[in-house]
Amino acid sequence: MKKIQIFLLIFGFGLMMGCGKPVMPPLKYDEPIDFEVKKNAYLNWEFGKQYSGKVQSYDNCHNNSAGLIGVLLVSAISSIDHANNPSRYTVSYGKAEQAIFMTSLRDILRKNHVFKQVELITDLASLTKKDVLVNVFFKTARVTSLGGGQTITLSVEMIVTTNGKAPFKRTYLVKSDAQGFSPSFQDQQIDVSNRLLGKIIAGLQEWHNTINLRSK
Amino acid sequence: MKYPLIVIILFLSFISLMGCRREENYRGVPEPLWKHLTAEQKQLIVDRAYEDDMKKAEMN
Repeated sequence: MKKIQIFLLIFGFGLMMGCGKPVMPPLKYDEPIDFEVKKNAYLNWEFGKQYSGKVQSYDNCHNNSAGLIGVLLVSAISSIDHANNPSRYTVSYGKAEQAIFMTSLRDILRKNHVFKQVELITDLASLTKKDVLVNVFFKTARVTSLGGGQTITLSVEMIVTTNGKAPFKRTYLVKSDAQGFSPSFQDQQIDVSNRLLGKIIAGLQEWHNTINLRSK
Repeated sequence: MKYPLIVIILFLSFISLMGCRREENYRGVPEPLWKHLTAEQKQLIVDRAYEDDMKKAEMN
């Protein structure tokens, strides 16, 4: 009986821990950005395929410590919980993280005065020919679970178009590799986002250099 | 018995309720994440989903 009680306490605690799922914080970019485009820019976000990873749950870890009644009870509750609350048992780099990434990118470009004005849009009909359209397409966002930890791999396509010129297209493949003692999934999200942010800003600089060369 | 039966029953009921409560899903974002997003991020997700739905409807 005591074993069951202890096990249920551990299981209940584990279940409650899953309730307050942390979300990725806004990103920061401290590197200097030394180019300026005297045009209005619009950021358009496109969502592609998402592959989630699994989280190891408490019920799988401690099944041996409880008796038969405990195992049956817990597996019954656990199966209901898995069906009703799938986000507790899966991790992903989904729409929420991508929306945070896009608002962070907009804020960083604004803060560094890269463009005259930067806005996020979803409706392309309102754009004029003079504007710069930066299309960020998250083609795939994949989370792979390996040995208790997770790795995030993003495949992102950026297309910059302006004033009828040929589109500037780049595809980036970034993989999280957060360092430190037992990095959390949120650490991996921040790490992969920072890597992508660096690539997108470098891509914008490359695009800026390209249009400058063409106009000379 | 160290713990009275009523405490165990209450505890089990609490866990069962936690497990039975179905999380909401807002435009593909689970409720635990959705509630942490800013109003602007929520609006962006809703607008994006609306545009995608419109595109799909046009294609059909």
